[in-house]
Amino acid sequence: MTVIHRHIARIATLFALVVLATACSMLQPMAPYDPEIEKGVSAYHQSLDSFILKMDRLGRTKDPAGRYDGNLAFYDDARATVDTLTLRAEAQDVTHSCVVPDTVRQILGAAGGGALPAAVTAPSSTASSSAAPAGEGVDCTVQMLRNVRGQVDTLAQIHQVETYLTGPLAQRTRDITAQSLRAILAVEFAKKRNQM
Amino acid sequence: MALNVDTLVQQMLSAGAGAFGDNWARASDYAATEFRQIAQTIAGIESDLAQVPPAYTPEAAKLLFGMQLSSLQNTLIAEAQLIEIAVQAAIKAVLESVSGMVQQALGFDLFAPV
Repeated sequence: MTVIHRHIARIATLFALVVLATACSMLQPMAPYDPEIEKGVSAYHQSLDSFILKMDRLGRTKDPAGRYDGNLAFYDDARATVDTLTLRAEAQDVTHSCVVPDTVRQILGAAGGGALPAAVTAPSSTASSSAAPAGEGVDCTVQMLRNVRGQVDTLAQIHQVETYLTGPLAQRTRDITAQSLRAILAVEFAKKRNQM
Repeated sequence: MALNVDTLVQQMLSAGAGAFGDNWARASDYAATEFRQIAQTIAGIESDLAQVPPAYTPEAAKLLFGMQLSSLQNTLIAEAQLIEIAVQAAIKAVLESVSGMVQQALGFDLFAPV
């Protein structure tokens, strides 16, 4: 190796170290891909969607089997399923933070009471005083699963208020809950694709 | 006045572009699809309540809207995560592109896990 080659190699090494240092400062730690979360969320969606379709069918003929009070067991099971997935995600939570742009909080706030939970923080450079301090937050997957858990309770409330979960109401709840679960799967698939 | 789905989607997309800045292009396809569904749900709730009789009560509509906001939260959190994953993948690719040269210069693999 000539002197010039050694010089170029040193410059390349320095460049790589600078890139590495910059890269490390930019990266947010993230929980790894978890096939059990992917499978669990998919199975939960199948169970939830099947339940709503059944409630829709029963509700159209006012069959008593479709009433809220006859289906409490489903909601108990759904809560337990989501709680188990959340527990798994919490056990793998290495970050204790879920960082989203601060302006996203403002958009959600402007949308009418949809502000992100305190556990979801703004980036440190733009953190608002309302953001949870580091160490007190939760990973994004945990936060998304907690939102799914809240939706089980809201779905039960809707069923209770309306007695039957049928017609356009059934369709809206199917669309909304699927979207929430799709968000979790989109992240898991992206982690899987990028071998994270 | 009936809500226009396309107008709602455009408003959400431009708000998203402002919120996520230069990183928006990395994940905007996902956002466009999800924002359209949110807009359709909001417009759908309005048309359900406009039926005679309404398809469900205003109380149920409020609960539905709360559920929709919760799904919007998940969509935006996922959006931020997808951008983060894309950035990490790009950094990984850059590091891999120089790792051979660095290994040759140093005589060992600097990037191998300890």
